[in-house]
Amino acid sequence: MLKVLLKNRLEALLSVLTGASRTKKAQSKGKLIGFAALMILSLVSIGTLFSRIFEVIGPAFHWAGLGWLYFALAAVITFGLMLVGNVFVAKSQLYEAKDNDLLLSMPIKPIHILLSRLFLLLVLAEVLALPVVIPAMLYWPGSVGVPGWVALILSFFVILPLLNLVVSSLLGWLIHLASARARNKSLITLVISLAFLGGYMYFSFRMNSMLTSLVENHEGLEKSLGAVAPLVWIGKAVTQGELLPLLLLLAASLALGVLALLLLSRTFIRTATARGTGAKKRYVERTARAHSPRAALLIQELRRLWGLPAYLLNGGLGVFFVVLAAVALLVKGKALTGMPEWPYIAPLLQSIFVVAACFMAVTIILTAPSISLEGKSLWLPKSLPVSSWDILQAKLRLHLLLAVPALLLCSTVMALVLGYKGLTLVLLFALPPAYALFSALLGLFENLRHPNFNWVNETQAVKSGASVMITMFVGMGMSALPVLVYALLGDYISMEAVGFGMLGLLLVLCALLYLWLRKKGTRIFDAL
Amino acid sequence: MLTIEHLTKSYGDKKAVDNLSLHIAPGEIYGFIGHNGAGKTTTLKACAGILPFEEGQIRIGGLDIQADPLACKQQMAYIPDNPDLYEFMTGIRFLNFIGDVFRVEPTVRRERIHTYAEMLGIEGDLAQPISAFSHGMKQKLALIAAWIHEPKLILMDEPFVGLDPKAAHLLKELMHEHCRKGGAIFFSTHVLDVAEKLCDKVAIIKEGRLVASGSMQEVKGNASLEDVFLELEDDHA
Repeated sequence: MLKVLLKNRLEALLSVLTGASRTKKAQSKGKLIGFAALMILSLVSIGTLFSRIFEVIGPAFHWAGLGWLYFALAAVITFGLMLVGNVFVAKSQLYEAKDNDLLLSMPIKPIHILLSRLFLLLVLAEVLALPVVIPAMLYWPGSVGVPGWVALILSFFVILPLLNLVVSSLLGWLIHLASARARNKSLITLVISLAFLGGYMYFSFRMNSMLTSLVENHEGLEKSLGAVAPLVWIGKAVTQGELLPLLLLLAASLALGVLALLLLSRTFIRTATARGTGAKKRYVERTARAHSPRAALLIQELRRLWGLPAYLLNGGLGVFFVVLAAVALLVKGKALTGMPEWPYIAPLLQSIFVVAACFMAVTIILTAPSISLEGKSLWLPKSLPVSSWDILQAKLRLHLLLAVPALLLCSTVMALVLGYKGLTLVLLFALPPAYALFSALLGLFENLRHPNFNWVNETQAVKSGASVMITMFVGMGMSALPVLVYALLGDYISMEAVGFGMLGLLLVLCALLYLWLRKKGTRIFDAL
Repeated sequence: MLTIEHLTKSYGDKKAVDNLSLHIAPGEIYGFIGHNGAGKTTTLKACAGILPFEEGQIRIGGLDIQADPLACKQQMAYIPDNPDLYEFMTGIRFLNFIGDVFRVEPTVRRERIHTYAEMLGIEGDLAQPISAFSHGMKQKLALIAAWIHEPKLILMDEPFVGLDPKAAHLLKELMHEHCRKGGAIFFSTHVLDVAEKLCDKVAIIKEGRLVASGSMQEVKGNASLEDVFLELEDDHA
């Protein structure tokens, strides 16, 4: 039975990775390759971020004879990435999967259901190890012998995923318990997620100073790291081939895994079938304020965003970052005015900040999963006396209502702190909202072309939809385009001219997307 | 109230509904019977303006559903077989959303919500998120949402599934009351006893084609509806 469940989990994972879950029809070869390419591109993007770190510290650590520390750091980064990526997947897959009831009603041992889901988490953790391990190995100038490679595979693809599985499952369990008891589940999930992300970002931003401090104090480091000996063991096993401590670590990880499995299996049925133990709120009768149908649709979209933590976190986090950037700029912005010591950057500083605002604009991805999120309740808006265009417009308006004011706030702060004038000032206020409009229209366009209504929890619709990934990558590409054009033609054309050219291009694309949505998009929506 | 003429709806090569014609007059409770996959849900969804169709015409109160879908939808309500509602909303917010879309005056809305929610026994639960509702509670909420704007035509797909006996009894009363006021109801069911006692007219569909329709007496004569249904199923096998 376990074999059947494992096969089922793998098929589910593959269907998500290849986009096959979006349609009942078999995927064409071209589409399969396209989805696989998108997935690889996502991993390469994450890997590129980490490769910058390894590129800098690889030669320095090798020269200082700190190879063990280099791989210990890689292990810490891998574990952090696995944790950020897997905790909420663990929560939704283990305790909130919509097929838990169905599987529990079948003659299947609960531990087998649990094992099959843990297996999925293990595979995901191994996939998340790739964007760290590959650049770490690429930028390590030293040689790694056969025992080193064995240690590397054992550490990063067996031990760390196992330890991550234990920690993610337990944290996922605790978060599930906390949110099940809370009245406002979204808020709890949001706060916990932001805490995780904040911790990870704090660590990432402080990486440089931490690394400098590590190198400066490397003599006493090995001794002080004794408390987290596994890191030393992993580092030494990879660089010096010391396998014995690593095997002990493997045995300990396996034992921990079994312990966690026993603990989870004892509580799995109760946790998976719990239906919220929070205090019941009594209905107090009162007359509601009336809204127009269009306003009602927009309010409903806002409630969906607020009511689905996965949607809020993945789609709306960009809004939070835009506001955060505005506040950070207001507090620390004066320091940036002292940057003329960077002669090449100083004249372009204002333009760089406009590009940064545009990049932040395309990280807000609210429309791309919005049709998929209708899921099985798609019959509802379609049965109401509102046009398909009204329904699509509500999704667009939600995106713009949140993105544009945040971006304008950020632009205002930038204008005040960095003293924008003339054409650059116009671009500062026009380009980021234009990018937000483009991203909103593109997201809706892509979601109409690639809807996914077969999800078992909202996270799937929000995270793994092709529309989300295409919108994100195209948006990022578009935000990088002015930089690329200026890099190629900077001798002949000013940055402002590139900016206005980009604004024109965006407006044309937006007009085309708008017309498509208005005509063909509504027809596609009617036929869904 | 509802006129279906030569309705044909295909999924690829398969005709889910084939040349179906029906007429439901004001004041009628019209039952729609057929085996699983016979085309009942497809017909109901086409009438509700959810599914586009290739051939035929559906008119609601004289208006064409494909030419003027919004005006048609304004006069009717649809309840699917599985009440998948907006789980991220509370019960009361969902009802107010429906009230807003159908432009029901807030005071009227409040009164109707109170009446139906109290009758169906879920008034105390309206502040709860729909995700915490049982199947039966969601079904009751969908019923209130359907009745909140007093539509002329109510389309229901298996409305008795998941309802407790008291709620099922109340629903039958609500249906009679609705038709007494001049409204019409077109609903599918597998519960033949209910159809026999409740409906003024009945239609039997098999593999997308209408095999019998008319008043209950015309269709079943002196036999039971169950016998007639089984006989027709065998005849057209």
